[in-house]
Amino acid sequence: MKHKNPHSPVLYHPSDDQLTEYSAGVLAMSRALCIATHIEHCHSCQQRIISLRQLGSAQLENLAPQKVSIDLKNSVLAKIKNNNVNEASDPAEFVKKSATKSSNTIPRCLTKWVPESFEKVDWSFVTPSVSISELCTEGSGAKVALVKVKAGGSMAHHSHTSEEITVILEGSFSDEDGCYRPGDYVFRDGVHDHKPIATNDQDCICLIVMDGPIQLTGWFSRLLNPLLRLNHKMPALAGS
Amino acid sequence: MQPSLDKKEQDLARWQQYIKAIAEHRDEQAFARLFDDFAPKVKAFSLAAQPGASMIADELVQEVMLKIWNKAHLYNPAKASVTTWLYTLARNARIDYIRRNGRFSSEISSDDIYNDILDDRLDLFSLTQQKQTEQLIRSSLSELPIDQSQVLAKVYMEGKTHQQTAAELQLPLGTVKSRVRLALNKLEVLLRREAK
Repeated sequence: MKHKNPHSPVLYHPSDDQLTEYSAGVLAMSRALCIATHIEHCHSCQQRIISLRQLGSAQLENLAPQKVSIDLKNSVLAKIKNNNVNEASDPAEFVKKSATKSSNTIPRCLTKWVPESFEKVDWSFVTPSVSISELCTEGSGAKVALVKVKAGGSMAHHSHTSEEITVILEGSFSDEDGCYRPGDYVFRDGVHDHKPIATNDQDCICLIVMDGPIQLTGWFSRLLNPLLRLNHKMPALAGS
Repeated sequence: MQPSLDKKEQDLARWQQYIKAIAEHRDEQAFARLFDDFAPKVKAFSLAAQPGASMIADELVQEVMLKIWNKAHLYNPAKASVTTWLYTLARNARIDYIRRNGRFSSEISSDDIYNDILDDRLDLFSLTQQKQTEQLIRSSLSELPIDQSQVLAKVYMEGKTHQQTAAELQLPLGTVKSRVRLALNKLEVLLRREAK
């Protein structure tokens, strides 16, 4: 969903429905990761989520309590007696990290997979223009990956059978519908064919979540890296 | 029956004191009192998502209460209200519980996603606005028409998506979404995006 705001550097946001589900904790984790990545760049979505979260806490305040057994209480009280160590999480450290964060550093929510830099990521070749690094696969089959498109390069003509989310991390790309820059959150349903092209100034790196198999059309399919085929059942390609 | 606003304010002030005592003095009595007040809420929160699953609810209670014990020193009253902090802990624990099972399994944990980045970045103006939103929600929530509060409860308390809510209530998805939006408008939760 587009919010056109000439003052905001981030133009493309998750829908309010998605933000609501995110704040309630009901989104699939892969989707939530995309929103978490987006909000590191987007103050207005951060604000929305904070407000939405208050809906959750207000409802919890009103929720009718359910009786807890005395055994459970005693069990928990016994556990805390043995555990006097505060969880290792130094707020000062985090503040220091945040202060030095620039727009090109790794989003905090991705540091588990990309601790240092995008250069150090283990990229797999897909086409001369496109590299991919798979981060994880969900129980549902959804895939989370980083995609790097060389400056001026294009993703293959591709359509896919179900939903895809892209969050731009570095660089930018454009397609028929617009030009997308770092922080932009782009949602695509399974219906349209599109051909993203990275702008000429630098490589474009994105976080991508794909719900379903990518069906490559055209001659790129012959170069398809086995990594993309992993766990996706490839439909028979027309004309192959 | 909803507790009066005054009583709520008192409860919250007390909870804040308990958490402070836990953080500063590892006060086990304060923890026990907070347990008496809050554990039954966590149990209800778990049962809302998984009705009848009493053992799971007990596990969630234990997990959340231990998290409170371990993270009390991280709670900053200037940044968030005590129920927001507690709700976040309960919500994240419930997410992670569900995440460990089958179809919803994921390597991504709630800590990866809900990593407190929101609270660390609030400026004074935003904090003030958020406090106002909070007051408004608290005072107006019980005045929402039943069809709106029902869908909000499905999403937030029962942990259902709009889609699942529509299926359970046998309503079109569009209807569910618009009821949620109407509620958000009434509570003035989502203001126009600011020009920045």
